[in-house]
Amino acid sequence: MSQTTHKTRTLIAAIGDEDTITGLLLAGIGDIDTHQRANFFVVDSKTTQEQIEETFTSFTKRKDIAVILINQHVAEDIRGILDEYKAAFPTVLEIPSKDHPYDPSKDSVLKRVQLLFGD
Amino acid sequence: MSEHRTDRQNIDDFMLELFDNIAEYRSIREESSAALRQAFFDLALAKRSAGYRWISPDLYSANAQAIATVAVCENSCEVVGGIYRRDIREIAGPDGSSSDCSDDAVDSEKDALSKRCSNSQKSKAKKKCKASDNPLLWFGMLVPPKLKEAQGGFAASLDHFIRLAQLKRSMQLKQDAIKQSLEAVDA
Repeated sequence: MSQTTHKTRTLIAAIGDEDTITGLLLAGIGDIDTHQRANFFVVDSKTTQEQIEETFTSFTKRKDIAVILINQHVAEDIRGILDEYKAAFPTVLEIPSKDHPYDPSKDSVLKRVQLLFGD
Repeated sequence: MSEHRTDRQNIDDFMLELFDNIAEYRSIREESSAALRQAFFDLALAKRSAGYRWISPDLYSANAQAIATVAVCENSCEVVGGIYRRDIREIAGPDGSSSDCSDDAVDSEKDALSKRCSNSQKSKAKKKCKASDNPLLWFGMLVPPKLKEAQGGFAASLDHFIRLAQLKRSMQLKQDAIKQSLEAVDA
C-alpha cells in the first residue's frame, strides 16, 4: 500500500513545565516560524487555565504540527477540552514531568480502553 | 450466519491486536519513564553546576529550527517511521558554503531558510541560523557534561514518545473497528 506523507506536518509541539520544555528543546523539537510562533509553551505557577487552553487550541489548528506532547499534570487542568478533542492530527500524548511521574490511572489512552471493556 | 462468523473472527483478531498494543504501550511507558527520570536528574545536575540562570527559558533561541521532526501519512492518519533528526553539519559549513545533500527534509529546511531571508542578508542569516541549530549551544560553548547527557536522555525519550503516539492511534483505530464489528453482530 503506498503511503502519501504529508511534508508540511512534521513538527512536535510541547506544553509543559520549564524542565520538560528545556529537555525537549535540547532534544531538538523547538521551532519558531516566520510568524514568530513557537511550537512550545512553558507552564509555570502564574500560567492560567485559559492560557493553556488557548495554546492547546492554537496548536491543534496549526497545519505544521503532527504531535503535541503535554505534561500529564497540565493535561489535568484542561481535561475537558482534551476529552473533546478527537482529531487524528495533531496526535496528543500525555507525558510525565519531573515532579509528577506517570500515573496510569490518569492516562486517557488506557481509560478509553477500560471504557470499551465496560470497566 | 457466515457473515456473523466473519464479524466474530474480526472481533477476535482486533481484540488480540489491541491487547498486544496495550502490552507494548505499557512496556514503553515504563521504559520512557525510567529514561526521563534519568534525563531530568542529569538536567538538574547540569543546572546546579552551571548555575540556574544559565539554563533557563531566557536563553532559548528566537531563531530555533526543529532538528527532530516526524513524518505523517495522510491515508492512514498516523505518524510513520520514527524521529527524523536533521544533521546540523549538512547545513552551511563554517565558511558559509552549504554541502550537497539529497535528503528531502534538509532540502525543505534550506528552502524554508531561503524564504525567510532576503537575498542580501542570506549569507549572514545562514551563519546566524547555523549557530542556533544545535540547542546545546544556546546555553554557551562550554556546557556541563551532564547537559549533554541530559540531551541524549531526552532524545531517547522522544523516540519512545513517538512510538507511544503511534500505538495510541493504532489502539484508537482497533477500538473503533471492534465497536463497528460488535454493532454488526448485534444487528
